[in-house]
Amino acid sequence: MFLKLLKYDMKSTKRYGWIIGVILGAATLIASFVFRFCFEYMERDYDANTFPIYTALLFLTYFSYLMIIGCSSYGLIIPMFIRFYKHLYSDEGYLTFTLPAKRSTILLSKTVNMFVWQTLYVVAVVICLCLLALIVPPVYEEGRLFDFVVYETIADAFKLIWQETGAWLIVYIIEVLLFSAVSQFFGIALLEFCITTGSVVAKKHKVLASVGIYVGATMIISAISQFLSLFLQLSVSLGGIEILSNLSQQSAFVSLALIIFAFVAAFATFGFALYFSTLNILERKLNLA
Amino acid sequence: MKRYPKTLVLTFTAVILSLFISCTAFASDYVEWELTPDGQTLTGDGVAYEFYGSFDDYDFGRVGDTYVYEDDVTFEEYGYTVSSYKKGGDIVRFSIYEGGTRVYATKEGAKILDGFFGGTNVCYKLWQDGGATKASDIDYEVLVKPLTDYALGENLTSISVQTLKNSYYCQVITMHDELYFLSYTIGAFYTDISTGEIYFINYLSLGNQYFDAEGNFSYRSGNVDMVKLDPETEKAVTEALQNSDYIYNGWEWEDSGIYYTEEEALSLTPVFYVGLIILGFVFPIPFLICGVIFPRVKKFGKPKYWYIMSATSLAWILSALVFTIIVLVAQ
Repeated sequence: MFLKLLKYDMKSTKRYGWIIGVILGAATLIASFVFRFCFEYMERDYDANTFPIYTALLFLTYFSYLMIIGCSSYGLIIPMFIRFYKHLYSDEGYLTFTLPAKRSTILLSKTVNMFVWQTLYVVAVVICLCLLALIVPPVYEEGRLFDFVVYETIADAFKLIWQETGAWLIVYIIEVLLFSAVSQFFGIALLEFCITTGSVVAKKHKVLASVGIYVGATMIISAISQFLSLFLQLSVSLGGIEILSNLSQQSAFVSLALIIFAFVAAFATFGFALYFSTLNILERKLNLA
Repeated sequence: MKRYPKTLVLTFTAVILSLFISCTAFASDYVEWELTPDGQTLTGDGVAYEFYGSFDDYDFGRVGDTYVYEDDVTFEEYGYTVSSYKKGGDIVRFSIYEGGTRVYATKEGAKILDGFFGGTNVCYKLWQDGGATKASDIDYEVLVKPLTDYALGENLTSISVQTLKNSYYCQVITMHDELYFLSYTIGAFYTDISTGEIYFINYLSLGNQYFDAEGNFSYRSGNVDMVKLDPETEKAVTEALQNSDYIYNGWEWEDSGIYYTEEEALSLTPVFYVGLIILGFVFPIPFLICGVIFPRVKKFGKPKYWYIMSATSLAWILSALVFTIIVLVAQ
């Protein structure tokens, strides 16, 4: 039943994914060619009179592109959460819960659906940035369309890190990917928890209550994380550097891997706490009557 | 009024107190430079340096132990402010805001600089693609033939700088002292992208119009002469390029924040452990306990859900524990 639900959820939300994908791709191509055009002009045919126009065009494109990237993520998330709310907590919820599926399965399918789309969104943004890095650098050789300078620089940086760390680099990359996955899960679980709590707590204005709880929760989390990061920085600077400098190179590599892993485990713990709390409310406290 | 657990209040107070202590307790401990009234002797870090000279046209190498001090220092009696000081072993350079540089050196440093300026101890480096992070040493013997050809005006070809920019790879050649503290760009090899032929351009023979404000070749306009390398030199250059290796070209900065002596830092190690205990052990414990207890309480749903949370919190604690053991063993 889970796969059927997931398939249905994916089918219903894929149009948002496609729209966002097309917008991102088109914006990237346009921005890349405008950047390339402006840079080539600035390098080759410098003219003091038209220079400000090209500079303005460059900045306008830059900020528009940043805005499109930023807004597109919300363009994907917001409809999905509206769908989540409508399917589970509005009148539609009566229908949803008549399906021959457990509430845990319904919640899981919605969470996996959002996770998949968010992951695809991140992949799309990475592809767009790769395209940007390919198209933007001006080329001065005849017969060549692209300059791979950005890729070469990144490859050089990786080689340099590889020389220092060896195979630990692979471990770090895996851990960072894992961290990005669990932090995404945490974000989704937090939103689901806030929507669910808002819908259960409030008799009327459920959406407003959900948004209010989300804003409040984000503020509290932000305050706690800032306090913790300050405390962490001070802990490291106050004697921590002295302690860590005693580590051998191998111990330092292991320690770094452990620290990243601790963050992965911490975010997974927070995510699961929120997710299971949502599930608990959904199974025991939700009353649509 | 709500009652808060004593431990929570105590932890919070301890954290606030430690933050307060960290912000106020220790004064900075920068190196203090002293200059004699005649401006000839500089003392700092317990070492005396004699004035060696001013070398405004030279770059200051970014290789090895070049150290940048953080504070600006004003020598009012001499009428200048120093923006940064850079030390390569026995040599100190002051970069003066008002313009110019002053280089001071110990006896050992002076010997190194004498060798450089006297031509008896000059090193050469060939930088990949115009001076990035890859470089290799190159023998002066490789440069003799192209430099001689240049001086005699033999085998020279004129080329526009725009063509150079668009159709050639550039490898810059620098000369420098043993410590790579003072360096000077003497020229560059240019590899024709289409044919692979290598040419040499002597930057020392070019006028100022070919360089930008920072002394880099500018490719703005005009023509320059270049000499095609003979096969033997070309082979040596190709080998040198193949031997290029990544080099550390960062500067080491003096601590920009609060600076502690070793004793002070060691006396503060408990603060690090307190942080480690709170973040690595205290935080995950409630999740672990809840993950174990909730499955036994009916109103909290099915056991398997909460066990996953206790497993991740246990992984969190275990990674913190292994890290703590590694740190303790290393002490």
